[in-house]
Amino acid sequence: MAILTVREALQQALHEAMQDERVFIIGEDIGHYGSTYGVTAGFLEKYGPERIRDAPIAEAGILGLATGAAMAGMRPIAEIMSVNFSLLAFDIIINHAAKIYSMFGGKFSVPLVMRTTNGWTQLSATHSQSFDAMFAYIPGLKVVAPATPADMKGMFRAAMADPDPVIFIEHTLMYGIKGEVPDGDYVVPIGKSVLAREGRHITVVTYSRMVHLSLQAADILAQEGIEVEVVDLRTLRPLDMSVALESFKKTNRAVVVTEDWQSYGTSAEITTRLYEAGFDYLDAPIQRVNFREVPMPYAKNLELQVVVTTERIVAAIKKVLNRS
Amino acid sequence: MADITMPKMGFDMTEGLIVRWLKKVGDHVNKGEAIAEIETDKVTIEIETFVSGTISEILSPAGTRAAVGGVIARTGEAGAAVASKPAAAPAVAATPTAVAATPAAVAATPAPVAAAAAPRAAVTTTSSTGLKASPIAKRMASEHGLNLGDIQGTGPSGRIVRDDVAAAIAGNPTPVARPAAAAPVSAALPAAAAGATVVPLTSMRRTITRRLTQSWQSAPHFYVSMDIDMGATLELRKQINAPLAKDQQVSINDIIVKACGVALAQFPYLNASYVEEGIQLNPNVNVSIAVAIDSGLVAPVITNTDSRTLGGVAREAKRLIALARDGKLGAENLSGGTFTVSNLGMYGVTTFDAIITPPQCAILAVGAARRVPVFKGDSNEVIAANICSITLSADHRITDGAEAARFVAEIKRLIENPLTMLM
Repeated sequence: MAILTVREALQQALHEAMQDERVFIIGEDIGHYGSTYGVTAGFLEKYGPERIRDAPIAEAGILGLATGAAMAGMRPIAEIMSVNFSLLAFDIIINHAAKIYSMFGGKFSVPLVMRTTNGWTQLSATHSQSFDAMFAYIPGLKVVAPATPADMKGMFRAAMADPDPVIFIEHTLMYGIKGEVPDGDYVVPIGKSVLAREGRHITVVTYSRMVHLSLQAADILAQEGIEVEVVDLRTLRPLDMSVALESFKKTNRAVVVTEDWQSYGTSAEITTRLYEAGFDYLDAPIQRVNFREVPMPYAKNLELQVVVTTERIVAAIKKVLNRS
Repeated sequence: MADITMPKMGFDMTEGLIVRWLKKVGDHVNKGEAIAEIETDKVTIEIETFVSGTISEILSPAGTRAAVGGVIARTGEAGAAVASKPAAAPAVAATPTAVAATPAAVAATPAPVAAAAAPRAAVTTTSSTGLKASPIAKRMASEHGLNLGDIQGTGPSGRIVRDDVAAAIAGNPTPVARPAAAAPVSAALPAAAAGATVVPLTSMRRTITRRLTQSWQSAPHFYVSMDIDMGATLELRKQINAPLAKDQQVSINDIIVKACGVALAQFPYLNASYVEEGIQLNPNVNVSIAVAIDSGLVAPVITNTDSRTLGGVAREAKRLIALARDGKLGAENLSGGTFTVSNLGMYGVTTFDAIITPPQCAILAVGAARRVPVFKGDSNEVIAANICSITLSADHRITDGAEAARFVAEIKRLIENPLTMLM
């Protein structure tokens, strides 16, 4: 068991993946530059230009190439530097990668992993978005968004082993987060949520970076005697609500925290599932904490008004508990 | 325009449930006419209007609760309302205020279509003002046979939430604001045996369940028993009843009730109620008598028991028991009791312990008078005596063993020397 950052855990996972000769990595600035967030630093030197392929700024091309290679038996890792750029590859992802298995009678599967990042910090409106819901909306894709270094490593392993296209969502503000990572072979299955913190008064259902903010909120509220249970969904498709519902049946109250817009966003689906399956256990309307629904401002003070903060999570929890 | 309010049908009544309306919007009512049936903790009863007029608005539809003094309906003056409002039109049905205009239509024709439609619209628009409760609160209340109307909501806008029901289940109906907290309420009921039938609780059963559970869980009961020699009382009763017609006669229970009344006047703490602020010493001595009826149990009240004559107690008891058997007890007969006498002697029961009826301090359980051999005075001579065992259940928050013992001893003294009660 080592203490690693998310970046180091991913590097470990990628090195492990590279042991398989069928695996190659393709993306913008991943080779000579070592990738924007430093995850593939040193990979070009170690594995050579055949398997570490710097791509032009052509996202549809990257995903198209990866899809074809996957169909032909390779195990491509396609890095899309920022999820905002994936918009250019949506046709390939949605109408090709996600459909090929069912449209060709199961003759081809597309075992590719698309690594990409959510994030913000004065990146302005076009570079600060989340499309989690848009990927998770598509049957034929698997969508994972781990929160911890251990899950990054373990779920990347599962993603590489999965026969379907997996959208592996990272976060620019999480690469430095540290945590214990089991050594050696370590797999965290796709589609299994987990309890990140036990509590008995309220359930926070969340994933990715919001897990960390929710845990901070739980720490703050613990000082007031409020015990917050935090559920990390880890996977958005297939969505495993079992842990969240179990928790909700105990606490009867929930806050859903997601780092995207509220309307039609991931929190809409998560909240609906809680209402549908947990109706008889509901004690108060579920609150959601999300981005405010505007294009992300560039100005720092305005940006901080839009994004989810620990304070907003604390306030939502208190509102559900009818405590001010 | 005049308001019709929820009447106070007893000193401890705080709210009433509208069981059904006997009149609808547009109906003309005369002062003193029954307009609705309400249910209090103790009784279901028709309430009368104190004003005459045409009902223009029903604010508490059937099935909702209203606080005592709360406006449950309004009357509009036929004519006046007409003049001030435009004629009732189909669109009227949408708003309750516009419904006020329907008296015009009522006055004009016996059963106009608009008037018939209006009441339904009025009920629909006001029914949304009903109780708010979270789904889990509703489910828990239903599983525990609790009436949500009896539970105070502490959630936003008075919503009844999980903890409120949990508190009610725990017998603590004044919920304390606490964090989402605890309340380890087991939601699941034990699986019913295969083939079992479940009889839904009647309103009376529910009331008994709720009130006695509350008493059992909140009032620390203790018991004091004593044997009473009934010889003198039986002799006196024989003398009193000899010249009287059967319906005038005095029962043993009447004498016991009278004795309790006289004793209670001397023991204010046994005639008290435990309230949030402290111990409320009740100004009047009103002894309730437990009467078994087909549907359960009622306890009509003999008011001012201490100052009534024995004959007065007997006559009132007879009247109340007859009303009870006919199901005609009114709220005024059932509220205000400060002490209860429960007698199972007629069933051959020798002793039993009763549960205190809230908000009273104590209840006396009376067994059968039975012939037993006793020593005569201090001698070794054995004689036959009629002995009756009584057991007082008392609320330890209000009184203690020694006081309860002195009280029971006073009852014994009175019954063994019944002439002192007749002076």
